[in-house]
Amino acid sequence: MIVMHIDANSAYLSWTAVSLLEKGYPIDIRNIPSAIAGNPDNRHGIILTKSIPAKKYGIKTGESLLEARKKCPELLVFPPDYDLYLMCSNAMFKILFEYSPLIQRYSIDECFMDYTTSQEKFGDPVQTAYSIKNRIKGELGFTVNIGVSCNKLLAKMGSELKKPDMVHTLFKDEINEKMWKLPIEELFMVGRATAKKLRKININTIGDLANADRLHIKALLKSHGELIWDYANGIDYSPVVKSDDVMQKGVGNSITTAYDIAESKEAYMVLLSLCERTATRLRKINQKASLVRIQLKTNTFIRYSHQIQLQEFIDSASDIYRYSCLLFDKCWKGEKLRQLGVSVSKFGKNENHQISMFDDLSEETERNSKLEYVIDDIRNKFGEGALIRGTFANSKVKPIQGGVNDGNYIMMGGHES
Amino acid sequence: MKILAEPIDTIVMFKGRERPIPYKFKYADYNGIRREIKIDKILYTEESKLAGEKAFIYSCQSFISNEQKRYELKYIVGECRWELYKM
Repeated sequence: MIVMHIDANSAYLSWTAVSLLEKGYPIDIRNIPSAIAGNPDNRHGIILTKSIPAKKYGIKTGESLLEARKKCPELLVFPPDYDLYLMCSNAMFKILFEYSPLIQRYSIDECFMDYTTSQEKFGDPVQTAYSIKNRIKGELGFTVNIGVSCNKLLAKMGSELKKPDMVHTLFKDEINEKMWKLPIEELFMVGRATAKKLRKININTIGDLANADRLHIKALLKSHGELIWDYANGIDYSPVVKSDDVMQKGVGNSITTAYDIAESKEAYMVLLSLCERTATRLRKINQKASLVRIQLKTNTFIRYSHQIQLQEFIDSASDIYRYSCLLFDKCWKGEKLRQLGVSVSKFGKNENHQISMFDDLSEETERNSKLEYVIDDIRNKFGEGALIRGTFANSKVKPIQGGVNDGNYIMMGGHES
Repeated sequence: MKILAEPIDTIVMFKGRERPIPYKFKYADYNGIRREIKIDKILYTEESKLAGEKAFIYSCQSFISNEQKRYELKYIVGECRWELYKM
């Protein structure tokens, strides 16, 4: 099997840079300290991506704009433009589809491509990788890194070796010299917590982990230990699957509000707007959920959550909202809230389930669930704002909240497959 | 040539299956005076997909203030609008 991992270099920033240059902006923001960040007035002011010169000032993705400005006062900051990003990403995938039909869109800026069957037509994978890289640079104006290997894990590790605008191979016989000397944090699926545990037992590089005893690592980290031990040895049997075939296990949306929420009435409104988005997305993937969960973050940045397992499967915003309010009343201790989130999981079909004595089986319930599908159709046809709940008329809270670009946007950084 | 990316008013001919052919356009110059320019010759056209935005670039030449000048026009397909791209 030949797999390529294609990853756009500082995606949001370089896409913004190309678009700005096309509009006559005098400088290429990739070559000066610059960053893409949300609006600090709405309390979304965190760094989403930074340029390579900005990295030299110690600016990190995820830190606040204020901190970043302290490190580098001349930092140029641009707002994100998700429509542009989707357009750039789609253009990139269009080029890639010319080379292989089997592409797994891992996130907005990276994907896996199965090149095994294309080899007969396009020839040597490394040469094709170079031509893909150069085509994207020439036609679309931004640079990518491509990793070529025999499985997804090694392709991904390969593409992250040295940036930007490079092609790397990382086949099994190259692991020793290219991957094993890297610090343990660089390995896919090793986060801060896992790295700390591994460093405690003197595993500092990927090579140390690969040469450690598998049982020892399993004893320390359970099944996750086996997984990362396999990864360190370049073992990964997961196939490249089309993004549509990836099983989704949950749907959820959250929002950081522009001001702290202190009253339950206001919180209910925000929850309802989040439920609208979550329910619409749930219906779009033709699923019903049996577990509702809410997450809260207070103004002192303490997070907590609460969840409920249901006997039935639901997909309507009203039902999810009813349970969300129930959960909210149970867990909210009255402090000021900064972030609220609703998510649902444990999907299933409602075809045959145990009826409870307390279920509301009136015709009205059935009519309501049909109504929600009609609302979806109307919103699809005439836009999201075509039909809103009366509660939101003349209120500060938007009727549907959470996510970007109607909630259809694939975020950066990859999602679990 | 420098990128200007100025929106312009354009008269265009759509001919069968061919790409649209610009005939003349109006734009405001440095002093804010609106000028009308007839396109004398289209040297070549090319498709651009920079930043994922599909567009056609027309390299043209015209007499402007008694001087033969080269410039580029751009038709942004997704937005159905014309720009004086480079001059």
